[in-house]
Amino acid sequence: MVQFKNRYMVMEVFVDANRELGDNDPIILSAFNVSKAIKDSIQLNFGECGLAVSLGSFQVKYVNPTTKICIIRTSREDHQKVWSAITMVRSIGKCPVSFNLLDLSGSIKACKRAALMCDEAKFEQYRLAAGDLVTPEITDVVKSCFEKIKALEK
Amino acid sequence: MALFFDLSVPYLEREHGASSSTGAAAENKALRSARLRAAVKALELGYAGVAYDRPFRGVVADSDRSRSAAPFPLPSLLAAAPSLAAAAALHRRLLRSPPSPPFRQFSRITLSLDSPAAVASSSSNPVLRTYDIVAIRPLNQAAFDHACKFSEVDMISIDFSQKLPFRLKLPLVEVAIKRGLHFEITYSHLIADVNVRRQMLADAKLLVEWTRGKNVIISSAASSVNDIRGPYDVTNLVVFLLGLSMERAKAAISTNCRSLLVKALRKKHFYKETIRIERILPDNEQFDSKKFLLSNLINWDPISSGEGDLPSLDDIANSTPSKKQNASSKAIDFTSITDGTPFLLSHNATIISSSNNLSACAVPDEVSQQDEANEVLIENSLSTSVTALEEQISPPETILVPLDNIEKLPVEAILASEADALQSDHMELEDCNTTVGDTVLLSSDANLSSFTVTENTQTYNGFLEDDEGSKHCETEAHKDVTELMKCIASASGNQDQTQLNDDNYYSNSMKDDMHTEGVKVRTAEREASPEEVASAHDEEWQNFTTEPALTGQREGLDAFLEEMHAMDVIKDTNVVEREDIPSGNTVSLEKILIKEEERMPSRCSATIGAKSFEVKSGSRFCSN
Repeated sequence: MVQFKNRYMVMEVFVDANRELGDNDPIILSAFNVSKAIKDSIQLNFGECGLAVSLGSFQVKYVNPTTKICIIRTSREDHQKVWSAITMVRSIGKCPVSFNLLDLSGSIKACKRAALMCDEAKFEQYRLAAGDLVTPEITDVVKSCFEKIKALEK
Repeated sequence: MALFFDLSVPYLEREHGASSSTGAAAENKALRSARLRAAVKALELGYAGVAYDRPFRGVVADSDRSRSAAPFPLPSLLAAAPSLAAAAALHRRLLRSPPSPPFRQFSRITLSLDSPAAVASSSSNPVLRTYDIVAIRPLNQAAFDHACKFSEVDMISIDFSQKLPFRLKLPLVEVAIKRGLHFEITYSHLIADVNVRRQMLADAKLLVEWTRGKNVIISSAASSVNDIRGPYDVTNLVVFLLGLSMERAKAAISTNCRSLLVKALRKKHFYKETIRIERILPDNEQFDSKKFLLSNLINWDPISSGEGDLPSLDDIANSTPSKKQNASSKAIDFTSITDGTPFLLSHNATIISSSNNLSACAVPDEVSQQDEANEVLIENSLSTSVTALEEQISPPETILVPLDNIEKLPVEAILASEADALQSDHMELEDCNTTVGDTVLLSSDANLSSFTVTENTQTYNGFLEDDEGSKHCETEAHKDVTELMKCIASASGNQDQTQLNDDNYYSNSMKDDMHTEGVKVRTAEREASPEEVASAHDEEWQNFTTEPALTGQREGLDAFLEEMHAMDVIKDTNVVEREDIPSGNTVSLEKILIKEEERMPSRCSATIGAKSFEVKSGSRFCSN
């Protein structure tokens, strides 16, 4: 049976590693931002055809702006290409960023599990780092993001 | 289980005091903070070690010795990223990298050479030995040929970002690989500059094809922290763009690096790769070959970076809650303080031995950064420790350890140190001189006895139980624990070890127990005792007052003592005079101990084996 095989990557974004500790983020991550940046990178490095081929299955499924975790889906044949392109992303808009892969899996289930774990861990770190700047709204937003992960479908 | 290394973090700071205008100093500071950020990022991303790479061109002068300011101490790293330990632990887990090995910092120099003569001269330059890794960057064909065939460096690093001025020829590359040289490919140019990518990929692909991935090292050479990528990302880049297999690519950033480090450090510390020069004992003692156990060698850590080693991640995690913890204080290298060179981290006596090699290197040229960092260090540790630090430069007799500092010091630390001294877990501990012995006391304070003891307990693989005063009793491979602590911990016992034989040892440790009751031992009586305790130990004990609430466990001790007598282990115990606080009479050792036992009943029992015995619950002595 011919099936569409995908790869789900859980990535974290480091936004502007050069800024001083404690500043607010220069940009807010959104699915659109991230997706655009990656597509630009694919086009720059692999050309029009490279972009076209990977565009079929490429989707940014989830982004958590606080903990900077995102889930990206690609097809299995292109995942290495897209992954390289993501590694070479230098900026989103004006802000220098860098991506780091946390987990690569073939099924949405495993991906959800890994993403939840990473998200929670990162949120802990965020809380440690931010100290008392963590308002209840932020916590709520993050909690709702966790719910979104659980609700991700195929 | 792979450890990932990033062996090229540019180290561009100039540290010549003469030319410091404000501009240069500010620039230096900016560079240093950039480097700090890069190191922090690497640690966060899960790397197990970085090497600070100083690019160099021309003749290596004496002033270019490896600076002691190169490695960053823990506090400055923590200041840059408070959740460092958690992030590092998470990433290491995700990378399937073991969380226990500490983060190491190495020093490296890259010589850009353009003639065969320069290559030849660089091989024998003693200044180069002060760096952990030596790399060559050939700039023309002749230099490359010579480097491949004859040079004695650790690796050949080629700058792919410009058009290559020479050709990579397969026979040369093969010769180099057979001789054990590594080739280095840096990936940050790929990421940073679009135009460079074309150039770089073509040449790098050629190199990878010729070497087929063997002896290839990937590193970042990242000028900005934004260009550093995680290990798996880099691996994927290499797989996809350069055509290596996944397994070789992963090896290129982990195992190849590690084997390079092992070789390089071995070259650095051993003369002709076999003889290690090490100052084993302080001058007034002679080497007791009986005590040099094989376990020292077996537990030697081949890629420890000396002062660049950070405590393991658990320790960092434990130390983060309060920055005033002694994570920093235990990182002070006391032996080098006695040498007059203030150091930041020192854990391994390899740095001590290398400081012997650098007999000419007295004081680093530029200590201002050092001082600043030292201040940070000292401030972070308890203020009381500061005075002790200064005084450490003078001989041990004059050290006054603030008494209130010591109150809660669990004697487990001392006792355990004795146990460890017998175990001799770590070969370099012989080097710890008398001053180091005092740091057991120094590095403790009211809240942190637990922390100190943690260190000790960690090295003893479960000898110590969890009792009052120790929060953890993890058994970690002791080579991952800061070796200075072991040095420290065992130094106090070590003095005994080298001078005493087993018989005397036990009586000594008995005396330790006495002290826990708040006993001050007069010097006179110490000298009278048949066990020749090292003088530092005496001083230590003189100033040593502890709380009574300690390593109880005297139940059955009189029986123990009797057996000891029967076995002729303890010789004369009744020459011990002590100043008992309530009354000034002199009592025999046994009586003292029995008295204590009455005071502090415990649940332990003493078991006596043929050569080893344990006193459980509280402190254990184990001797081989």
